[in-house]
Amino acid sequence: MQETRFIDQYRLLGIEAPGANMDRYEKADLIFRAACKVQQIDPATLPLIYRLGHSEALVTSFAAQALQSSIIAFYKLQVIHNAIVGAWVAAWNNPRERKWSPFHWMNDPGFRFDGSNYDITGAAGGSRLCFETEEQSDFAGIECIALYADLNGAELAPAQAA
Amino acid sequence: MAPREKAELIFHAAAKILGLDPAALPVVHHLPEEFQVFPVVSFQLEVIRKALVSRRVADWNDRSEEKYGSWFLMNDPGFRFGDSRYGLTYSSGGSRLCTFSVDDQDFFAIECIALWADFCGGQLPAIKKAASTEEIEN
Repeated sequence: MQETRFIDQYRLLGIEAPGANMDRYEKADLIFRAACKVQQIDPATLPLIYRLGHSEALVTSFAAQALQSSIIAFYKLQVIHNAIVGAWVAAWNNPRERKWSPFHWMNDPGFRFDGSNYDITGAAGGSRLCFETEEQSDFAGIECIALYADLNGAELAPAQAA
Repeated sequence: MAPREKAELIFHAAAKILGLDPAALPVVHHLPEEFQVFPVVSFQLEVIRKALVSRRVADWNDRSEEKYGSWFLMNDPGFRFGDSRYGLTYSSGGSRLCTFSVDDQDFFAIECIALWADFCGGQLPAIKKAASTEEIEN
């Protein structure tokens, strides 16, 4: 069961592991709010895409449609990441240190977790979200999968397929 | 041309192609400082990518379509391009920024490396000053 597997991460965030049936977006939101509390960040403060010099948001533009969800998802993942790894910072010059990241499938039946893998000195774009341990990476990749789906512009697989 | 100037030039050109105002960037000043870089650079990279691939959308169920991403080295002497490789149905976090040919991806990674450094949280290598005439003669 995932909720008992990640008990250390939930304890770190100061919340109880949610039930297995919780909606994945609700679960990610719960985790984000807990991570905000740990870091004393207002969870209502999110990145915005505005046209500079104007007051209205670009709600119908390419920017808003394509990027708003991705940028907010990354921001939330970064907040969660920082709460999970604490003071750890990747040492890119240390060839003995593994930097873990989750990997996901993009094809049918939808966005789903595959596993966590590590790199040593290289980055493919996700280096801001690499983790100190495989367990932390699995936690993010599984429990926050709704945010990773938004980040990648993908649709979640049905719960039973995931 | 300095890497940041070059990336900025490319971003402006891409914004023009897409009919976007290059000055309209995500507003991040209200966020904690450590979270301010990514939203802006992510937006800039996606604009460039979208112009580069002519708004083409990846088909993640098409196993014959190669989706290219780039790999970078984060260690000393600083953030630098490693290689471009392709995946078919798989994502490691950068799938929004994939292109469809190795040439496009190499261009994207190498010419816009200043943006990728910010995207990945890396530091570009220090640019060595050209040796002076006196140093060369000695």
